[in-house]
Formats: sequence, structure tokens, C-alpha cells
Amino acid sequence: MRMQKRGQITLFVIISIVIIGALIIFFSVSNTGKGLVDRVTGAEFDPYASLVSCVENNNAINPKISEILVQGGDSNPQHFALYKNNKLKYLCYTNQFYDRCVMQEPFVLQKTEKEIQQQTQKQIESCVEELKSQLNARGYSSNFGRLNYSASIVPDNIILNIGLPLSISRGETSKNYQTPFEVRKKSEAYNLIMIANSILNFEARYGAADIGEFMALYPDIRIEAQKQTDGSVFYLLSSRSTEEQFSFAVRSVAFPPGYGL
Amino acid sequence: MKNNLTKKRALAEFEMFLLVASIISFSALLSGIYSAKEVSAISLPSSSAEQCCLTTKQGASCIDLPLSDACKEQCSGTCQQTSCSEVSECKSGCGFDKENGLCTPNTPKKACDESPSCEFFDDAFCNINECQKGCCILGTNSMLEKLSKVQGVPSEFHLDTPDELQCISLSQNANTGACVFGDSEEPSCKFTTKSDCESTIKGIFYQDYLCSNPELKTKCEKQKSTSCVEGKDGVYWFDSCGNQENIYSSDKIRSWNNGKVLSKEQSCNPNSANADSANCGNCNYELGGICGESRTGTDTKPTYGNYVCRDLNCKDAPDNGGGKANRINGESWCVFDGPVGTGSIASGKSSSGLGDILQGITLGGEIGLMSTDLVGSRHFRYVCQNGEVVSEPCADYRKEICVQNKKSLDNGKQIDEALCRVNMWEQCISLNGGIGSLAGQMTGGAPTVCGPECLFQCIRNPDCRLQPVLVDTDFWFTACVPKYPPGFDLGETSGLSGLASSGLSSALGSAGGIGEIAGSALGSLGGGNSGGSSAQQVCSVGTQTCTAIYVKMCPGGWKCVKNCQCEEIGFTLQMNNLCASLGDCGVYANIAGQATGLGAIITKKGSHGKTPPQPFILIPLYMALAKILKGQPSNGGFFNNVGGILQLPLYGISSMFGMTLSDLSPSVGMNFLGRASAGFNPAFTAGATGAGAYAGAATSMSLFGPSSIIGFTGAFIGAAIVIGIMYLLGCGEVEKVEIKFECKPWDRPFGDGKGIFDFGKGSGCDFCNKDPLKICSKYRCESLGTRCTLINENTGEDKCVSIEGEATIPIITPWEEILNKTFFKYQDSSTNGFRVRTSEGECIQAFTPVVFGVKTDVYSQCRWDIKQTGFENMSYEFFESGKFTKNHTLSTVLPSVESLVAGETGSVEEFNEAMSNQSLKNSLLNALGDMNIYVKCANLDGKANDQDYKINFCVKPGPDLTPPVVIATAPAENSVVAFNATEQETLFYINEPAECKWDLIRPNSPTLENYNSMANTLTCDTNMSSQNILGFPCIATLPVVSGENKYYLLCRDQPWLEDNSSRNLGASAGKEYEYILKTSASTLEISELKPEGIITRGTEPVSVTLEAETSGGADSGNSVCYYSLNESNGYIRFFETATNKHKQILTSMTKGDYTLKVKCIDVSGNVGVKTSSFSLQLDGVAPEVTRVFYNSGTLTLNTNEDSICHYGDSVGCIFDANSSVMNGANSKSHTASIEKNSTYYILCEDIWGNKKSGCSIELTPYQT
Repeated sequence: MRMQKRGQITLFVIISIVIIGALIIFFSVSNTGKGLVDRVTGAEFDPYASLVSCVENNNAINPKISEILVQGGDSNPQHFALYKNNKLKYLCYTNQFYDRCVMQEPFVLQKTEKEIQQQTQKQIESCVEELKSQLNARGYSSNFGRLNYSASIVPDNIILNIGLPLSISRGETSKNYQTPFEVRKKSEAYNLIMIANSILNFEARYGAADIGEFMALYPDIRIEAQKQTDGSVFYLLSSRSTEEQFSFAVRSVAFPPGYGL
Repeated sequence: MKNNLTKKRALAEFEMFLLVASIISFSALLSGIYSAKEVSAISLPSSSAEQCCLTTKQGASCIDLPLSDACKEQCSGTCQQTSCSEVSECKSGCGFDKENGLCTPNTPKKACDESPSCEFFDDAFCNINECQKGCCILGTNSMLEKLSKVQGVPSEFHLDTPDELQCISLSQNANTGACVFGDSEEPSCKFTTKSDCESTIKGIFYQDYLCSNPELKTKCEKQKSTSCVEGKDGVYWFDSCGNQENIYSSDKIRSWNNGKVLSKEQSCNPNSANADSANCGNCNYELGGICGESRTGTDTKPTYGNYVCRDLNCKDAPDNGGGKANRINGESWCVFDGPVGTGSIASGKSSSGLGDILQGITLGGEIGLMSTDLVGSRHFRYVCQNGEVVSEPCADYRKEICVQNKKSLDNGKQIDEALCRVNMWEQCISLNGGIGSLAGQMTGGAPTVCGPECLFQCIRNPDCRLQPVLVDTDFWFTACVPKYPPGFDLGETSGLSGLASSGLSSALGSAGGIGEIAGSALGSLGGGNSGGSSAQQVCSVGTQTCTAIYVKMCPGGWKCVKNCQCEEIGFTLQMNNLCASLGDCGVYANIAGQATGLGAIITKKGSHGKTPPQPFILIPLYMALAKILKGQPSNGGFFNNVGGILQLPLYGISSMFGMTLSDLSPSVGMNFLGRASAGFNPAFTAGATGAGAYAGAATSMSLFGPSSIIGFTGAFIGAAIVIGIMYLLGCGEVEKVEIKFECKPWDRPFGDGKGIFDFGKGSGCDFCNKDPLKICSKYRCESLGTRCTLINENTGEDKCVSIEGEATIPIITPWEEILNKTFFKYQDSSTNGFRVRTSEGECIQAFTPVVFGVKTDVYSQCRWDIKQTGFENMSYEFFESGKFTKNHTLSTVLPSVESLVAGETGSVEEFNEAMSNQSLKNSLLNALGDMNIYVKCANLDGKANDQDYKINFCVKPGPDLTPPVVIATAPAENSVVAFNATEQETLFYINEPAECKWDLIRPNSPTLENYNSMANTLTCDTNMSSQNILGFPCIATLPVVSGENKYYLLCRDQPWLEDNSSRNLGASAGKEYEYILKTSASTLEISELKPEGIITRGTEPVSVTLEAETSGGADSGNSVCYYSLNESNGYIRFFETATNKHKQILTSMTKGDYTLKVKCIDVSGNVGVKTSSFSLQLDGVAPEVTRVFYNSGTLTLNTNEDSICHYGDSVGCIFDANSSVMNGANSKSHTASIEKNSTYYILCEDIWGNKKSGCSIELTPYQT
């Protein structure tokens, strides 16, 4: 009898621990739970902080940026050379022998920014949706303006500029958020692209850029130039500190094999 | 007597003389003639040879595609019927990004138009003001940037510091110190520059003070942590406020320096990299140390903090010959696959430098001298980069070479510095002269190869060297050859390069049925490898014949009296060395050290003497050379640094045979593309197509002698005939023995290339994959074996593998499609062979060209011979040469008995005597009536069929009843010659040996009397050895007068019959042949030449466009033009030329006065010359106001140059893009409506961006 009683008590204790644990998880993790807590406590919710947190923690954004950089600033290059399963975009190209290449993508920086913006748009929008559900769960009524999203590549960072006019209200309190905000991602992309630009300028003017000089001036950037038999050169630029890579292909002032008669 | 006859018959039958007369260097001759337009002085395409595709299906923009279906297939839009340079959307210019201040050269206009922030400038090299760079200093950071990018940002901008290194140095040398600001009780501090402190932070600046200096009473505590500083090498102390202090040293007191700045030179161990030093953070990147966080297990743990100087040097870096060496960070050096440059078998040395010059000058050197780069080899540049050895391969096929120099560091240490640069091999070949005239060639005159000018230029060029061949007193010459011979596309070597039937007939002006037969039959051989290397063509220039002379002594027998050394090993060695120095030719070794022996062969024509040892016996020698000799880098002469490379002109390589006028000889320095030198006979080459082109081709193609071009025919006829005839006639006086060295493309090892002897180095296809620093390429892989092929090419996963399959012994069958069924057929085909007969089943008429071939079921190489022997010993190849194909082509022209005998006898008496010998005649008839060649084919593994495949021919006997026919001419009929030409050397090809005459008056009828009365005689070569697929060449120098010139030709065949009436007379269908030449309607004029006068620009360097327009001449002004700005450097071909508009952009001009000389030459040799002068001036001065007046509310202002004037009320004239601009922008007169009694500030800026600091003028209009 005594044993049965002890067993019952033990069982109730276990069940109660499980219930409490579930409740803790519910209120701390799920949006609904959090919303209830906020409602009860009246705590203020910072939508922008939430949005920033969502973007920063989104695991899909960084791989997309890496893919764009490694393909010469293009998410899906049409004119490319295949190198180790990567499509290296031809940023400067000619099909002739002895001729200087013609720039195929004059503004690589702008193009890369645009590609990043286009390829990460969905992730940003999903964060916005997430924000909406969080606000709802917390009992806010919200009015979202038009999402204005762009990406900028600046020294040391890739800045995701999110413009999202927003007004929220709960009870008698209401707030307006008009100022766009930024999510900064540490990145050497700017330096990589600027050096790529210099290399392209040299190739377009003279052909055959000398990478040794660039590497001496920028020791943190590793530059490989792989010359191919058809006259193309694959440039692989990588940051020693962040391991990011920007790569592209060029074909300029190519010579035919042998006597070329 | 009877025994002797029997013996001779047996010999004749044994030696199976076959008149496969036209196993000539078919491609050499015919492609030389076919490509007359390319090989001549001028290459003139008709209208536009290209179409412009704005966007290809692959997404490429503004691509020129050939005039063919290729454009439609590859272009996603419409193909423009002109080249991209003529399409406005594809016009190249400078794309200036207004938003970001970036400049992009050579940008098509359409790409710029697609971007809203792009502004398009015409200068494709971006030599515009907006793109001028200067040094921008922001705080302690610096950046070399364009002015446009930094405007509006507070900074220092130095236009006079365009160099990146100087810019970095400027920022680092800027005065730094503590900037104290904020609360006076406990002020804050930032370590920065004076300008930053005063203008931005607005603090008090203490130069050379650290923020932790107690005198400043800041809250910053000293030496709290260590870290790296961006842009600097060393490890630095940081105070508690995060300010940089001095360089880290474990001696804290010393490194704090009492709170004052301590320079790098005064810090610990300034002349050392301090790599892995726990106590000193004074890293030196140049010496191999840089600041980085200490990595456990890799770097030393510093005494204080977590940062240390990381060792960036490379220990035990790979070097040449398998060696290793320590290299410091940034050092670069050359690594090779084996020996490179000039080497000597005798001395065992491989290098280049002073020794080569001496050897060249003395013309002696060592007999083993040769260019030693192995087949398949490549030059590599290794770099030690941050502790890692990185390989940078120079361009494949040795299009680039690696050159190396010593560089001194600041601490006095010397390191290596290497560079890949263009291999200037073309200049070497083009420096050689050649045979001065076709006449000389036909008569076998001694070749002139490398004359004094050639010697001088050859020695000057660091990529060229002299190759002496000194065999005997009458067989010696020197050639200028590449030091680093270029590689060929080994998988694509072909003997049919660039041939097509249409081009053939147009170049030759074929006449007569036979010519058409030849043309159509040969046309089917067209295609080939027009875009790639013509290895057969190139190697054939190393084919040379040495003629030894034997005299019959009575008594004593035959004795050699001249060029006897040609029968010895020295001839073989020296000729093969020359052959291998031209490119991938001859007997030589590959990168795995495997040598093959089929790239050269020696044949002897003549019954006396001996054949010298075959080149394949040199295989062990070259294998040893490949293994033992180490490559030594050269210093590269000029163009050995990046700056030198930029001097290389940037335009398409012209044909190295293109330049023929002696007064347009190029400078070696200025024109790395090279052209044929003034060795050509200018008069002969006037009227470039046809004869001139042929000579040009012949001269360029054959450095050394005529025989390689015209080829040899009936090689073995003489062997049997001569014995019989000379013996029958008694003591012959002199006999020539021709020893021919035939240089052919290098043969790849069979199979996967695994050799019996690999000396531990490894061989086979996998050899290419062994070294990760020497990436495998198609060229390297294919050089290892016939089965070796590169997979995953250019993907980074390249691998050389051995292909399987095609291992069966080839089965040979007749190739039906190649045979012209209208005239011929294959008869009695079986597994053992077939017969070639006329379509009626009869023997073939003498002197009829026949093209035929065989097919194999697997890819194979085929060879043939007149005797049954093994594949390796067969002397002759099919047209496909060493290429593995399934179709194999041959051609022949069968002579008559009489022509054979005539070729070997010296007089009519001898001929008659020989012909009266009935049994000899019968034996010859029998032989000609039943001639066999034996064919064998080998698969990729070298396995050939054991049984010979026999191809049988017969010549129709009987008297020659057909008159001779002119098959082809060069230049073609109705060609246009120069306006002021007075004569034209012309080639006529006759289908059989004949004597020909010509006259300006048409003979009434083709009778002997009329023939004899013709005024002029052509020089005709009736030797069988001079015969080719087109027949026998005759040459004449025809006088030319203005307008149309008609010439009439008549020929008599069978010259050996002399006055015998049975000789046939004719030249075209039994009558005379009419040949027409026309002179150009006018001379070639340069109607327009720019620039002229004064050119003003804003900045240097300046882009100047040279433009010329030509008119008149032979082809409406279409010509090739050359320019010279400095005559001592010679003339350089315009980049855009070969039409009547010519253009050249010079991108690096500086101010000064220039004299521009232009010379143009058209297809007929008309020359136009013009000179202009221009002056480049820089305008760096702001516009001045010259006059101003005000009337009725309108202000009028005049400036001394075109400008744009801003006006407003801004004191100090600080205007932005929105400020008011006076009317008349970019002119000298400006107006604006302004109010009186108000003060206006006006600033004028010229088109180069020059403007005053402050205002151009301030004014207040008053009522008068």
C-alpha cells in the first residue's frame, strides 16, 4: 500500500514537471505564448528588432550571397565557364584572337548588389510575414506600408536596407515606424569586387593583368589566375580573413596555339 | 652483256619505281598558293568578313561572328551585316558610373545605356578627367581613387600621387598623435592625424603623443591589449580606450617609450620579419611576417596578448629539377618541365644568356645546339604567398615564357622575381630571308637564309637564337629560330590546312579540263584545320636536301667529291636539331622523357654513297637530355617586367609572310608580331597574289631550299634508271646523290605512352596528373601518348586519362568518295588491295592527276612504301600525316616512260641510246604497266596490320598524242597589277614536261613555224623532281603597260625529242593560251589622314586616334596601311586596316609634336604614302573672362575658351549640379538674365574640368 502511494506521488511529480516544462516552452518559444505574456505583462514589442533578428538569423541568406559572389556577381550567369562545378561569369570577353575583351558587365558592384537584393527578397519577405504573425499574437493591430528592400556593398559590410513603414497599435498606445533600418553583414565583398574591377580594367585595356602587384598591395586577399588553353583566364579572389570568394572569367588578347596559320 | 641486262631488269623490277609523283608537300604548295591572299603582302578580305551579334545565345554581348551560318546559330537576335565596331550599340567607349565614380574601359554603348547612372564617353581607354586617379587620405587611411568618387567627402586628395604605393606611404607618414577632446576633468582621447583631429573631432592635437601619456591626463590606460592595425604589418599595443599605441614588444617600458610615438625603425628588430617571435611584434610583410592572431599548434604564443607575427615565408618550396629551396613571402620564380631555351647536347647545358650571343656570333657553337623545350612542356611561375606556394602557369603551347630577375629588398637581400610574358617566337622565323626569286628556286640556286641584318636582329631578340648547320663546305647555313619553340595542337595536326576548292580555283585561275579535274578532286579534300596550327606546313621548312656529288673515275670507280659529310651522323644530328627547334617537330622527347622517332626521316636518291643514320637513332640521346638537363630561367631581355609588357603593341598578329616591301622593315622592339624581312625581292613580289605570293610563301615557308616546297617526285625512278643507263652508256662523269632530311610533326608515343625506360620518373597518361602545382592541360596530356586525352577540360577537375577502345588491327578498304568517278574507278577490290583505273577500266594516261584514298575501320595512322616492309620502316605518309583518322588520302601524277628516261639523261644522244635499248624500254614499260604501292595502318597502340594492302596503277602506253595544257597560273588570269608596274613575274603550270614560248601577238595558228617565231621563251623546269599535282612550272617575266595586257602562250611537249616533229603543240585545247593582266586604274592615294594640327586635351596620357582613308589603286582603295611616328622604330600595321578606312588608337600619348607617316599597299602592289604633323597640348588652365557687359537685363560674358559658366549668389562660387548655368554652355559666349544692383558670383569651367579656385568673376551690374 505504501509502495503504491509512493509510486503515485512519483508519477504525479513527473507529470507536473512535464506540464510545467511544456508551459515554459510554450510561453518562451511560441509566438502565441509570447504574445500572451506580453499582453498580460503589457511589455512593449520592438518590431524592428524582431525583424533584424529574423534576418540576421536566417540561414538561407549567407549561402545565397556566397553563391552570387563565387559566380562573378550573378545568381544565374548565362555566359560562363565551368570551374569546379561553379559557373564563372565572363565579365570581359572576346571570341577573337589578339583582341582586347569587351566588357560584358561594366558595373559589377551594382549588378552584385542587385542580385543579392533579388535573391534574398524572399527571405526578407518571410521575415516580414513572421513579424506580422508575432504582432498579431501579441494583440497588436498593424498597418504595413510597402516593403522597400535593397542591398549595398560597402567596405567591410554588406548592408541590407529594409524600408518598411509600419504603424502598430494596441489598446490606447500606437506607434509609427517610418525610418528604414539596416542589417549589416560582415563581408569583404567590397574589396574583392574593387580588386576584380581593377583586374578587369587592366584586361580590357591591355590583356593579362599581373596579379602579383595586387597581392602585394592587398595581402589579405588571395588571387589566383588560372590560364586556360582557349585563352580564357579564371580569376579566383578570396579573403584570407573571411574566406569569401569572388571569382570570374575573362578572355582577352588570346593567342592561338602554334603558328596559328 | 646479257647478264648485265638481266641484272638491271631485276633491279628495276625489284625497286618498283612508282611515279607517285605528287607525294609532295601538297598542303605546303597548294595552301601557299590558295592562301595567296593571306601569304601575299596584303590580305584583303572582300567587304566585311564578320557579322555582329548584339547578344549571343550564351549571353555574350557584341561578338563578331564569321560570315556564315555560325551567326544565325549562335546569335539570339538578328545578325548585323557588319562588324561590331561599325554598330553604334556596340561602339566601345568608357562607361562612367556617376553614382559610384567608377570607370570601365572598352564598354559597349548598349551596356552603358542599360544603366541609368552610366555616362558614356568615346575614349575606350577612359583617359578622361573623370577617371583620373589621385591619392585620397582619410584619417590614417588612404585609397587611390578617382576624384569624382571622393568629391563631397572631407579628405585630402593628391592628384600628383597616382601611384598606389606612394599613396599608402603618404597616409602612413602623416603626422599622428593624440587628439584630446571632451570633458576637461577626464578628457577622452583618440589617436589620429592632425587634420582629422582639427577638422572632424575638433579636439586638441598633440603630435607624437600617445593617448595614455600621463601628461594628457586622459582616462586611457596604457598597454592593455595587443592587436593588428589595418594597413600595417605589425602587432600593436592598444590602450584601454582602444587607441593604437606603439609596436608590441615584451619589453613594455621600451615599447611604451614614455608615452610617445615610437617609429617602426626604432622599434624592436626592425630589419627582421620577426615571424613567430613571442617578444617582438615588429612584423615586416616584405620579409615574411604579418600580424595575425596566434593559432594553437601553428604560431608561437606571444608573451603578452594573443597576436603574433605569422611566418609567411615558404620553406622547402619546389624548385627546378626536383630540388627545393626556401623562399620568402612575395618571392616568385620560374619552374619548368625540363630543359628550356638553348641547350647543347655536347656541353650538356641548357640556358640562355651571354653564351648564346657568343655562340651566335661565332656561328660555330656546338653541333649539338638546339632549342630544348620538351614537347608538351609549359613554363610555370611559382609565388610564395603568405606561407603557401601558388603556381601561376604561363600560357600553354609556350605562347608565354617565364623570365626571372633578381630583386633587391630594402635590407639588401636579393630575391627572385619572375614574370610570364609573351613568347616572341614569330619574329625569329620572319627574320630569315629566303630564296630571292622563283627562278633561282627552280634552278636550285643556293638559298640565302639569315643574312647580316637577320643575324643582327636575331641576336638582339632575347627570344631568338641562331641555329648553325655546318655539315660540309658546300652545305652550311644559319637560320634564326625560336629559343622557345611554340607548341602545336598535337591532336589536330593535319596536312590539309585551309584548303578549299573554291579558293583553289580562284587563286590559280585554272584552265583546261585537267585543271578542273584537279580542282574538283582536290576541293573535296577541303576543310582541314584552318583555324589551328599547320604543323606539317611549319615543320616542312626544316626539310632540306643535301646534294652530294660523285664522279666516276676511270679507273677507280665512283668517288664522292662534294658534300660527302652529308652521309654521316653529323647531318642527321644537325638537321634534327634544326627541325626540333622550329616547333614540335622531328625526333624529340616529351615531358615524361619519352622520345619518338617518326617525326623525321632521311631518304637518298642516287645509287652511290650511303644513307646517313636515320634520326630515330638519336632517341636515347634526347631521352637522356630530357631527364638530365634542368631548366634555367632567362632574364628575358627587354620586356622582362610589367612595364615592358605594356609596350607590346596591341593589335592582331599579321601574317608573318605578309610584309614584303623592303622599306617597311619592322623594328624588333616595337613589333613583337614580326613580319618577313626585306629578304624578299621587292620587284618580284609586286602584284602580291599569285607568283609574288607564291614566292613569298615559298620564301617564308622554305628557309633553306626549293625542294621542300615543290617536293620530289618519282624518287625512286632514278635509282633504277640511272644504274641501267649510265652503265649502258659507259663512264658517266658526274652523278648527284640527293640526301633529303624530311622534317615532320613530332609523333606522339603510341598507346598510353608508358615507356620501357622511364628512369623512375614515371610515364604514361597519369604523369600529367601527378603534380598539383603543374596543372594538366590538353597539350600536356596529348603529348604523353596517342591514347591520352584530357577530360573535364577547363573545369578545375582536369584529368589526363587513357581512352579505351579502338584496339583492333585496322581493316583497310578503298575510299570511294574521294575518287572522281567521272574519270576513274577502283577495280578488283579485295581485302588485299585494289587497282586504280580509268572509268573505262583502262590504264591511266600519263600526266593525269589522280586523287584516291583508303578507309580504316578504326582510327589509325597509315603509311606506304614501294617495297614491302614493316610499318615503322615505311618511308611515306598519307596527306593526313601523323593524324589518327579513318580516311586517308593520296594523290599521284603518272609520267610516261620517255619523261622518266629524259629526266635521267643529259642529251638527245643519251636519250636515244637509252630508248633504243629495247629490253630496258620493255622493262620500264612493264614496270609502268604494273606499279604497286604497299600500305599499312597502325591503331592508337601502334599495332599495324601484318599483311600489306596493295594499290596498283598502270600508265597507258603508246605515243603521246595530246598537246600540253596550261593547268594553272599565278597570278590568276585577269589579275590586276600595280599602276606603275613595268613587269610581272608569272608562273604557268603545264600538265607535262614542255617548252613554252610567249608573245604579245596572237599566233595565227598553233603551228611550229608560228611557235618558233614567238619572241620570248619561258624558263621551264622539266625535271620530274619539280613536278607537283598541278604539273610542271614555267616562269616568265612579262612586260606590263598601262591598261590591259594580253599574252599568248604556246608549248611543245616532250622536250627530249628536240626538233622531232612528233612533239605536240598547244597550251589550251590544242591552241594558244591567252593570258591577261590589267594594271590598276590609278595609283593608290591616301585621301585623308588624321590627326593634323593641334590637339588639346585635359590630362595625360592622351588617347589619339590615327585615321586614314585610301582611294584608287587596284581595288577602290582597299589596302593595308602602316604608320610610323618614329621612323627609327619602323612601321607598324594599323589595327583596323585591309579596307579603305584605317584606324589605330594610341592610348598612351604624351604632349609634344609628332610627325605621322603612313604607307599603304594594295593587293597589286600599289603604294601610297602620306605624312602629317600634329601637336598634342594639355590644357590645365582655367578659362579666363575676356569681356563682360550688361544691357537691358542681360549679362553677356565672353571667355577665352569653350566653357560652361555657373552663376549665383554663392560667395566663393561653391556651386552644385543644381546651380544656374549661363546660356551658351561649351562655347565662348555666355548670357544670362540678371537683376541690376545685385552681386553675382560666376565660375567658368572648361571642357577639361579646369576652373579657378574661387570665382572667375564677381560683378554687380548698375543702371547707367
